[in-house]
Amino acid sequence: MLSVEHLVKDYRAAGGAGRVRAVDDVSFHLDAGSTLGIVGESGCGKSTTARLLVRLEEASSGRITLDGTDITHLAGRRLRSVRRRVQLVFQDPYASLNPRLTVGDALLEVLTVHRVGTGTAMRRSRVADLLDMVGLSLTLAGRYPHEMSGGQRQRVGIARALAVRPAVLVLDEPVSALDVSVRAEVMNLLCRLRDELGLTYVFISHDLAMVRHISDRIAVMYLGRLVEVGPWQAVSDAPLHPYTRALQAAVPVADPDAEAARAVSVVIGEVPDAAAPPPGCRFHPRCPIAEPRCGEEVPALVEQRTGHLAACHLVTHERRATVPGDTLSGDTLSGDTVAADQ
Amino acid sequence: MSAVLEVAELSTAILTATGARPVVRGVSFAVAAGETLAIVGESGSGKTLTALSVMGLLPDGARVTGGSVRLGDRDLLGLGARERRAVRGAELAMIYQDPTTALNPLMRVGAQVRETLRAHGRSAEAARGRTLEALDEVGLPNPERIARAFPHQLSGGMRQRVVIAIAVSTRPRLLIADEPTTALDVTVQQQILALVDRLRADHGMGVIWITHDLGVVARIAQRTLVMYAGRAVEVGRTADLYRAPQHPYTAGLLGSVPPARGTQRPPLAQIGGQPPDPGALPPGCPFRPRCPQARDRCAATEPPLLARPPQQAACWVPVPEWSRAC
Repeated sequence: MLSVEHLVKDYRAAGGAGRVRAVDDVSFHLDAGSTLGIVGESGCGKSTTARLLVRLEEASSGRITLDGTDITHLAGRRLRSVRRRVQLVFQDPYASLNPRLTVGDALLEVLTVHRVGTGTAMRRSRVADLLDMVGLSLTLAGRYPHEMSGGQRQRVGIARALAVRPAVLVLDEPVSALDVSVRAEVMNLLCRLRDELGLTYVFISHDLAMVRHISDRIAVMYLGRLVEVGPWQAVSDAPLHPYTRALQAAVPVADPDAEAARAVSVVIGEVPDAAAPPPGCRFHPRCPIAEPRCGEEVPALVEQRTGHLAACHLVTHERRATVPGDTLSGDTLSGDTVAADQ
Repeated sequence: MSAVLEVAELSTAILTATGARPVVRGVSFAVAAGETLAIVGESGSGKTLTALSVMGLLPDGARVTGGSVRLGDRDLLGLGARERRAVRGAELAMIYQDPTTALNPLMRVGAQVRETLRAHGRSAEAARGRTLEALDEVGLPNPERIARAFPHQLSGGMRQRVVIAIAVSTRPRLLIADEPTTALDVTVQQQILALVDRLRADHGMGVIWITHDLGVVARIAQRTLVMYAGRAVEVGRTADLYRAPQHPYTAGLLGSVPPARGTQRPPLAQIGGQPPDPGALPPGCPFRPRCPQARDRCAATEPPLLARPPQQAACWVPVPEWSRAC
């Protein structure tokens, strides 16, 4: 239903000299009703990908296809129709809601702008339906965003995205700003809405646990590139790429026994400056198993097992020999280098 | 183990035009040398204000209204401003979520470490040597070069290491860490957690780690204190508390985290409702309006922290008793 092929987004670097490639040759495909999780750390290009998908940003090259139609460069009326099909939910609902409009009026405005329904009475009844759908009582329609809790505001953000009856929701860190207990409520709501409305999700987060919880397939990004894509449990619990392994090992889990039993392996360094990415594999300076060729050739994203792709020379190579070490080496706290901008 | 810090019945209020809003309500805990105590809670639970009360760094309008904060044999709440300043930095240090705001952007990193050491009585020469040592201790490569850098020339993770270097340069007995990894990438968070844990173990430093992240708690804290509506609602060894939470709020928090393993992904447990407004607490237990097992007694009297072996919980009807008849 939604396909992305060789998507690239370049920005002019701060100060005007040179370019930053925020998204670099990203391809994936999404079936109707399924959820693709995109996980990665800062600067990996996940939020830029979100903005490209909803056409808030123009791709530098590559192609986005929705139901067989190339939407990469649509404009005018046809772009508006795409925007009704693909909606974005932001991390911070507070920043995305007009503080001077009540929640009810904000939803009415969306319906009016997109000419959903005819007449105020019909639209008011649609507002009531939307609030009910996201588990908010109708009495909240008269409230302003600042009078609501973070969880209520995010529900309003979801209701607003659903107002135009989209097929696809692009969710950019939808629960990251919320308290732990509220996160669970919004995650449950998203799962329920997906099933009830047959929605297709692109769920973007830095939080592997949340991505694992909601996704059918998981894509891992690092410095603009996809490094691994595959079924949720394989990518989350038995990752192939050394970066995904490092990420998985770094995420603390809420189980003291599991944490105590875990081999301490700390990946070195930090994500480099996107304006001067390392040559070859973007991860090689931090990779515990890198070889000389990793600094020279960019590894292609290739299928390692059925439906499970990874971009790593050594995983590809060792598939026939041995699988690289289960624990990432490293002690590690001494391995940082001074940031590239010094 | 000897306690580095003993906090008893600490109460803090924010003074408003309409009266005092209690934000920390009779909280007691101790931190032993070489121990990490996690203080867990959601926004508004009072965890940060508890830490700031201990540090003596409350914002304008907030005031400690009762209790004691003992560091060794002194009650810090009885000290004057000057004595308090001398303790802070030398024996108690704190690191924050955003390292950028803790550093002076116009001062070289080395000068900022030296400034702290000089303020606590080191000679210029001793401070210079100790600065390089401290930068090295926190895993910064090439300390001479880092000392000459300005904060903006360093990455986020390195800035947080510098802040930690400043905090531990005086070898404090207690370090209070208020969500210092929340703004960092998870691979960098892992490095900082390992670093603070090593400093704790190497120097027998007590650590209070404030966080909302139950995974971080499981990784680094030997003991955990859960806060809700300004109260300590459960305290115990982290392993005990996770295995068999006694307070329904703790159980709810733990249930709301998606499992890290397994093929099943059932809906997450929901607590429902919202924490009470500190200015308008309900009578009885503050968690009662959200509690699935509240009884008449819970509406009548707020439970104190009671022994619920092996931990303590402020609950009349702790979770393990729920299966029993009323």
